[in-house]
Amino acid sequence: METFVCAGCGRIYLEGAERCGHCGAEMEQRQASGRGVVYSFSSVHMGAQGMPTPYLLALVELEEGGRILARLADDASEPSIGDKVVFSGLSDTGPVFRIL
Amino acid sequence: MRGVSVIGVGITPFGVRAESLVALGAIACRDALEDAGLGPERIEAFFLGNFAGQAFTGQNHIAPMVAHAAGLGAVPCTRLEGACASGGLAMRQGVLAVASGQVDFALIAGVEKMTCAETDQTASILAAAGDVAVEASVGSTFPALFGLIARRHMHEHGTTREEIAHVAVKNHAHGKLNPNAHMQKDVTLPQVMDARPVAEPLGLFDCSLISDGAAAVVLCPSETASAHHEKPVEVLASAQASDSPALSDKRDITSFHATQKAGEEAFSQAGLSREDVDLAEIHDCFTMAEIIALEDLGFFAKGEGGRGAVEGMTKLGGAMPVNTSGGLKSKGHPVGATGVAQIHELTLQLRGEAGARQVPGAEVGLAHNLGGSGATCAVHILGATA
Ligand SMILES: [Zn+2]
Repeated sequence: METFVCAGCGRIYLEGAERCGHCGAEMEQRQASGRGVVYSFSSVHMGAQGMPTPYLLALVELEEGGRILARLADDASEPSIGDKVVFSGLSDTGPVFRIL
Repeated sequence: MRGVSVIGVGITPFGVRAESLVALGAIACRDALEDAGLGPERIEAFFLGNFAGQAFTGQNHIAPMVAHAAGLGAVPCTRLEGACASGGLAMRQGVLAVASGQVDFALIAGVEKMTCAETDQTASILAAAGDVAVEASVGSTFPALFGLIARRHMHEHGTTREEIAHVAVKNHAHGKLNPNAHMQKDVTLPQVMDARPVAEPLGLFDCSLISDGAAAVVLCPSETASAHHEKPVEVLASAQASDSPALSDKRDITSFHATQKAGEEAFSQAGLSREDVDLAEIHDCFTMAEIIALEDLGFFAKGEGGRGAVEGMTKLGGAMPVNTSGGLKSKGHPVGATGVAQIHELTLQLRGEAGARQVPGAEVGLAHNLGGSGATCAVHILGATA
């Protein structure tokens, strides 16, 4: 998994840009394993405008450090905190992970 | 800096209201001015809390509109936006304006009109109180963020689903006694636990209400306050702090650093300890948020906030009743009005005018107003005049 880490605020992005969208500092490209664990999760039943429900949101803690908010793959059953996950791709609604 | 006191408060009933955004604000302002016995021409500065007037109703630039509708004339009008803490920020700017000697009479109002939007549209408007680039864009809503927070709190601290649900039962029991509350009825523990899920573990009754409404407060220097109201209420502390809204930026998502900082600052300003507080209005945008705020403000040790509602400390009749107004949960949460409505409730309580929900002999009250997932926090401490 290719990541772009902000040298200023430490935010992790999966899509490259010259500068961090949050703080404007420069970004460093870093190769990551794509593996992490579920830090927390929620099954969303009443969702954002135009998003079919239910869907699983998770705050994923990456192996290399740092957390990102992501979707869990549609076929995922209810996870537990600490479950191992792996990056499976970028969708219209950002990063998607699947439970290992 | 000089002492500042509340000499007038006003509120509209919360709920589905026919009046426009601006009219709601003006009604609360007139109510507060009447309570203070002042004509609108006496006001020298106006501060208005409003989160999303434009997104909900198409109208921006509403501070001068509310002021004009309330007959304030050409006074400086400033709108404050700090998501759900917009009202608390307006209150704080009013306090600073009077404390600094800039003005003698300040009017503060908070207003929101929300029920004109569809539920999923409302969810998207509210989601913009978080970090849209990394949260809303992924499909996150506010219930979802607080669902993530609640799940982690349960995992780290052993908080139970039942403890979380008790907050809703308590706040509805209080709101039933408030004639201005949006939902004046009890809910049972099974009703909360078995309600339709919104963002697990949170269900429908864990979420605050989508409401229309407004509240207003009149401030003046403490030394002349008794000339305007027989029971002025003194502002003992006015504090504010900030943090990043994004959960992925926080080291710990089971605490809000902005609440901890604003709370510490407020207690230090007031020279009071936690035991001195007789009642509190706590920002219960979600049941879980009340538990976390009780911990962050130091009323309970970390992980023990769930005991408050279960064991009754935070119920009417308990050691420190929390959300006697019904809170955002039962009184309703017209976002921009909430922080000012909390000051309204504390003022009634400290005057001894809260009717069926009066906390006997209340002398010190705390208001905690939180913006978004903890990015803005305002804490006020008010005291009854002896
Ligand atoms: Zn950055």
